[in-house]
Amino acid sequence: METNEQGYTSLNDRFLEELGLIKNTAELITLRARYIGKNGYVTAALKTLVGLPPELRGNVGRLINEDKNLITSALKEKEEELKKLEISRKITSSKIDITLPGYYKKAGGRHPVSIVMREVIDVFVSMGFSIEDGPEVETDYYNFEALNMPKDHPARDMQDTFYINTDYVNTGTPSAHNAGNTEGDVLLRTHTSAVQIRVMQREVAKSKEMQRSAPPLRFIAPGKVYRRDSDITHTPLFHQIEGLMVDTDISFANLKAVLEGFLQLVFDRRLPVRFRPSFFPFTEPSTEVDIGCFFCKQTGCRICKGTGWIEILGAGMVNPKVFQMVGYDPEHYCGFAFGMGIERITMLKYGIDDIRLFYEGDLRFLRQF
Amino acid sequence: MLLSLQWLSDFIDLPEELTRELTREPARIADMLTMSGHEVEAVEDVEGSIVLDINITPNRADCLSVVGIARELAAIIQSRSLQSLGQSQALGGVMLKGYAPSDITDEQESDITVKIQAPHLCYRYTGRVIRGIRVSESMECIRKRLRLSGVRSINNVVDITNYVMLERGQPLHAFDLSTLSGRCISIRALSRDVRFHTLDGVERDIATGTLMVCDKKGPIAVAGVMGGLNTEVSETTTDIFLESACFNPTSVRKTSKTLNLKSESSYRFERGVDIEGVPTALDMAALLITGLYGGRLSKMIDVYPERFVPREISLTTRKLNKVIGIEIGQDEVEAIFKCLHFDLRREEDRFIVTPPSYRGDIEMDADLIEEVVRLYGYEKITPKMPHTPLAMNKKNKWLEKIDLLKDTMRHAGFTETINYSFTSADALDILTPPGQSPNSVIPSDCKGAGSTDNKGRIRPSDCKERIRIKNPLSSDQALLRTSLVSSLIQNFLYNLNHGLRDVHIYETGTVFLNQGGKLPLERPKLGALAYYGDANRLWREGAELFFQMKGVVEGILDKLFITQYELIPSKESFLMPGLALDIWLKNFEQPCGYVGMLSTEVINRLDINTSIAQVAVMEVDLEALFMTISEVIMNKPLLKYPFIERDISLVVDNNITADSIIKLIKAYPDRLIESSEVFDYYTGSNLPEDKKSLAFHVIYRAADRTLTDREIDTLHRNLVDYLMKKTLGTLR
Repeated sequence: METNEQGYTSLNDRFLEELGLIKNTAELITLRARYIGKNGYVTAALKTLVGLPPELRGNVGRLINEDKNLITSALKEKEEELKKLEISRKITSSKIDITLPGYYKKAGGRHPVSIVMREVIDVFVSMGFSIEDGPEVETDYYNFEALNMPKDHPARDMQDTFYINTDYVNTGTPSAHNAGNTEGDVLLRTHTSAVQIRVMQREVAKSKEMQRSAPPLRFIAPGKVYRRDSDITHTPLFHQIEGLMVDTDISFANLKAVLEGFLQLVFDRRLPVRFRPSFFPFTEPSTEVDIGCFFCKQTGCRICKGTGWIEILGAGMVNPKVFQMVGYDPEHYCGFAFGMGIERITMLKYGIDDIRLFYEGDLRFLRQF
Repeated sequence: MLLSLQWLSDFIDLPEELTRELTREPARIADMLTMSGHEVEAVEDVEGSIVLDINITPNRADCLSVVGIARELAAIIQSRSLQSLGQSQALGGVMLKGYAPSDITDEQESDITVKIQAPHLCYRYTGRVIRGIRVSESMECIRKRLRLSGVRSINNVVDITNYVMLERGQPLHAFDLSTLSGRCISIRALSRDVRFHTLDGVERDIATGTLMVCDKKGPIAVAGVMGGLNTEVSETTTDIFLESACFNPTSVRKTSKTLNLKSESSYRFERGVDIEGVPTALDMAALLITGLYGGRLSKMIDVYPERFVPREISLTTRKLNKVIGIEIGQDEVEAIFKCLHFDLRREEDRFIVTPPSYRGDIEMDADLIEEVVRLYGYEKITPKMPHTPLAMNKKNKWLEKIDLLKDTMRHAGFTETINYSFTSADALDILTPPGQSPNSVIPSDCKGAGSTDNKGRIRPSDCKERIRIKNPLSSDQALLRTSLVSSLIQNFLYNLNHGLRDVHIYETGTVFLNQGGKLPLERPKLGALAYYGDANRLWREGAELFFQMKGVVEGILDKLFITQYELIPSKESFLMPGLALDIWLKNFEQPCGYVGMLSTEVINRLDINTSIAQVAVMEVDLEALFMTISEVIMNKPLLKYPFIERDISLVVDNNITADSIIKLIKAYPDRLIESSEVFDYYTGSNLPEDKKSLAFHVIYRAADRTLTDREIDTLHRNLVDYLMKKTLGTLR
């Protein structure tokens, strides 16, 4: 052990020189043992303190401790550096190419119409509407007659119908047996409004059995509907959601509030909404509901055909004739009905400009959703 | 309906400042019409005139004319100004003009008589003879107005009939007088079928019962639809008989539908013309013809068997306000009715309203309410949320389960498709060629399955006939589908043709089964199809396509907590024998679905250009699936004592299934066996060709103590002996 006149020569320079030559953790461990191990230089130097004159002892002791601290922290630093180096060496020398894709099964897409259908249902369910269902193949009676669209009425021109080649179906209505009667004609339903009739009839029958008056109603009926129409804006099959709310004091003002609320929720933004008079045989008064075109901020574009408005819903106060037909007392009850096409809402939400894409089954289109 | 603003201004007089404003901005007129129920679909500048394309709803026959729209617009402007300015300052200046024709003098006696023989089909018939006219081309101003309205010019006489129809909404017809046989015109329903040449040059078969205008010899016009070629007004015509009539709308519509012949005339008649306006239109036309092209008029013939009786409808303000949901004052309501030219009187809180003859659509108080609120303005009704009790609706289980299925399919990598419910015979034949009866998969105890017999089976005779659409858009969309897989195969082919090599698709939808004489049976189904092309894949699929699809089925059953089911080898003809399973739910007499690989025959029928096409499909009846009672989840206490695991590895004949061995273990009478599962399956070298090796884990556990190895050794040896005996297997 070298000593200078103060009794100690710093180990620092020699240590740093040796540290610089270290290449791996094993060498580092040896180095650490040689300096600060039980038999290391620093320990040895400390042992020399007892042999020093007392006046030097304090000073030399301090110097040795300083060196010890320096060496310890330098070793620690070097250790970390070596560890990092070794990890990255392992990474680059690994035989496994971990950039290969993971074992994850890519999720399939959901049909955009079914997504939006679900969203619309959710909004109405949140408002306390229940869900009803009806057949897709219907009789003329439920699809037209009972909705105040008698045979040979021009209102039927609004909906081009597919008829089914099947025998006459008995509807069980009083006039069903008359000659030339068409109530039993079978067709693909042109709107989900047919469900209105089925539900109201069912409720009337139930309440007769229980000897009470027919109950208030609040339901939606989602489903597929069919019209004999096919071009860039029409497919022969599309989806509708019909809604009905019936009680003793339901007004047009209520209809406006519910549908405005619905539109804000389903499009998730504050939209201008306008109600304009229209005609449906099963509602009176009737209205068509437009939303402000959000593509052009109502300045006029291709989507709104330059008008700034997009038609989105048909609605109205239930025609008393419909109530009469199903046995709800039109003097006691009133209510509103509405219907909307889901494809249209879907096209607006996702910026789809050709309705036919929905039914081609093209995976390149469907996987996006 | 096309309407030129210029023509409109013949009939409506607006205060000058409003006129200036409106003509500068036709969009405002369009907006006013749209917001009161007559949607203007386009405003266009044609030949320097503004033309509106208005969508007239079927109830408003009275608006199918220039005069009709003028009336509407006047009412709209008047009622809007009433509301904005108050009654005292309201516009007095909105006037309808030129409404009634001038009086006709200098008439000659008519030698024509008219007989209505079917007064239930023809409500009124008027006519005049005009002699000594020269048929030529129309004046340009007439032709232009016709052109802007989308009507072709024929000659001056026919053009005037069309002109007046467009202006008044009353269809007219002119016959060449010299071609009429006899001097008596009768309107009657045909007593036998006839062939008749209509003006469009087509010879048509007209059925018994059709309402026709006839002379002595026979039909001269299909009433309300189209005239006959035999009495057409031509260049040589000098004398005409001009007809203006009111026919039964239903009758006209039926005739037009049956003959597949639509005309401007039938369009208006089937919606209903103004019976009181019939002679007015006749006179307008007569005066125009004689005024412009000369000729002498005969007296009007007017056969009007049953006079129009105006209808009185009562409306209370209480009802009005209840339906609308705001308060509209009585005076305001009265003013709106006046704008519409509805007669009314008040009786306490009730209005007794008489609509004009042209408003046949006003039948009851609801119609009056619509009129009031339409002119009041929908936009002025403040939205108000309904006050109703909270709904205590149960969660919709069906929807929830559909969501669950769709999520499961999505996570399994399947993309949802939606297909048309109609398809072609070819698409259906791919699975079940004609003559081969489909192995229907219908559950037995489903409600709503009215079609099935009391044992739950569809009677075979009912299944044979596919359901056909009478009027399909094309022949490949003529049948209602009886399976989803047939649609999915079409999707698969489409995507293959578009270069995709990985097709995993599914659909939930309805299939339709014939029940003759009743509505078809509609069954909700889930179908799926999976295919990997021959493209090189980075990762090999862990399981074969068949097991992947089977896993999907098992996954769905598992997610629905359905444990009571069996998958039994299927004999479905379109599936590959030995790689197909039927899905049997407990207590059902028929399988509720299948899973398997498409058979080679089916693949060959698809005619696809890949080396080996492996296509897995499945279809399952959702009503059966969702109605099956799911296992009720109840917490079972966890067993405290440790388990002991033992393995069995058996070599058995190929025809012994893993499932049958699991069943043997399950049925083995030992309460200490907790569970068992297959963990290895092997065929190949070291084993004879007709043998396979199956290995099972068996877990033993007691509820009340720690088992000893020795105890289990004995037990397990017995189990192994039992299994070897039952399967005729050997230990591996």
